Amino acid sequence: MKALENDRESFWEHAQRALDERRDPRDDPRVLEAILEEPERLRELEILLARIEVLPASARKRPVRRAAVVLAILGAAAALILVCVARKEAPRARAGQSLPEQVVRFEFELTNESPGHSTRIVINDLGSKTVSNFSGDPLTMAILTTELSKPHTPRIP
Amino acid sequence: MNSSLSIFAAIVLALPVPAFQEPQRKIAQPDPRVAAQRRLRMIDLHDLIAADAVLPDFEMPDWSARAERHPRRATSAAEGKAPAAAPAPKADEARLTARAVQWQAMLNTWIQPPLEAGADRLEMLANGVLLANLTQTGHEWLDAFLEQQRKPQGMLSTQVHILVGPKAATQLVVPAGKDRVFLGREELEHLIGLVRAQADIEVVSSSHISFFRTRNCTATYDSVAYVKDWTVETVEPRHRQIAVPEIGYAINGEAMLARGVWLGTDRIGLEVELQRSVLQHPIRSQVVRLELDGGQDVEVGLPTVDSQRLKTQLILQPGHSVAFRGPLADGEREIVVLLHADQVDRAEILEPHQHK
Repeated sequence: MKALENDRESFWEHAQRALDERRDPRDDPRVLEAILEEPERLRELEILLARIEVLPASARKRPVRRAAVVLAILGAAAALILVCVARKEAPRARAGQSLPEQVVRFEFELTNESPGHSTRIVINDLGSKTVSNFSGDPLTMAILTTELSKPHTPRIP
Repeated sequence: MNSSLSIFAAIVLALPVPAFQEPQRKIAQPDPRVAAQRRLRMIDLHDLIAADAVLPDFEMPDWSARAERHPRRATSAAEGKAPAAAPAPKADEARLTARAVQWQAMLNTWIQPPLEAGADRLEMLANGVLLANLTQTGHEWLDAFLEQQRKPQGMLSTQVHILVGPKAATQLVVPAGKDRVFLGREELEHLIGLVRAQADIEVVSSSHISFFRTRNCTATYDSVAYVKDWTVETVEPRHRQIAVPEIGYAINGEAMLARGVWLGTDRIGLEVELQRSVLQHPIRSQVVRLELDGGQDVEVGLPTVDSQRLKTQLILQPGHSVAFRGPLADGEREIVVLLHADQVDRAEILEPHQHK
């Protein structure tokens, strides 16, 4: 008798646990085992399930909705954390990732040179600048060089 | 009184005497940045260096040195010697070493995140082993980069266009208010078509060069000799004075060096050096009178050379371009430097006859 009572308690315990976990008790193997041992239990269980079915929908759904809200909040928080982590990770460009198109370094120099005069334009990352150098009349320079280079070679005996 | 004295004595005795203390040993601790966040690895890059070393190595010509001291081309009549032979090709070992140096430079240039001075280290040892002391992110980048480099590599290509014209024309390429712009393949073709249709814009295009991973250099130029100056030398026999010309050399042509590498699957890391030099013809000249034998007229050349030198480092998508705009000295015209990077169709490399 005691054993039967224990079996009964165990059956309802498993059935209740399945219901608490939002599962159909008829899918629980232990509940099914108990029903196979005593088929009458199935009718009792179905009565219980039928009563639950007629309970107001809101009363049944409230815990589910509350859980959903909690889950949604947790999900949003997790998403926020992920976004923050991803932002921190963003500068870590790896070889497999697509780097943005960029100019790392640029320098362009344009020069016009003739003897005695040169103009230089530099365009670089910092902007552009023009440098002009006037170093005198090239012809005068050539003559000056010629005058200065007059040698004094000793006469060979 | 006695108790206070004994307390004082106890305190004095308890105090440590510096002279008798053990000298405190200071152990040099590594920088916490280095110790905590970085890992030292040795990576064998023999295979990559050897693969690149198969190709000949080119050097960018040094025009400044050439203009100053040009090697004699003609055979000297007095000495009867033939002109100097071309330099001997580099030995295998020297070529491997040169490629290893290029690999180190390439890794240092492109690694992400960029190396932190004093903490990160990337050094190629003589035996082709890379010493890498990097953060976890640096090691991940390096591993992914090397894995990609070990896959079959196609060729890359690049070309530079230099446009000179009035502002209205150059602003077709780089809009007003900007000094640079990135262009897609279709945009570039459209703009080049527009620009070429402009009568008042001058377009100069460099060689279109294709190259494998590490580098390529193309150079087509000539050095034009001219009489730069004259000196008067007293020579024997007869102890007479003669006019001796000083020869100068003006460079006319182009040299271009490109180094490129795939960064990820759709980005090209590109380094380009370009030098162009255009000698204006005819070369102006002037007559100079030397005080020699009662006066002797000689001629001095006054060449005018327009030269351009570009040095840049970019990250571009294949087929894309970047254009820079800047003013010219006259204040009316502007210059646009346009650089294009692309990949060469692998089938075109393997089976060129099918693409003719």
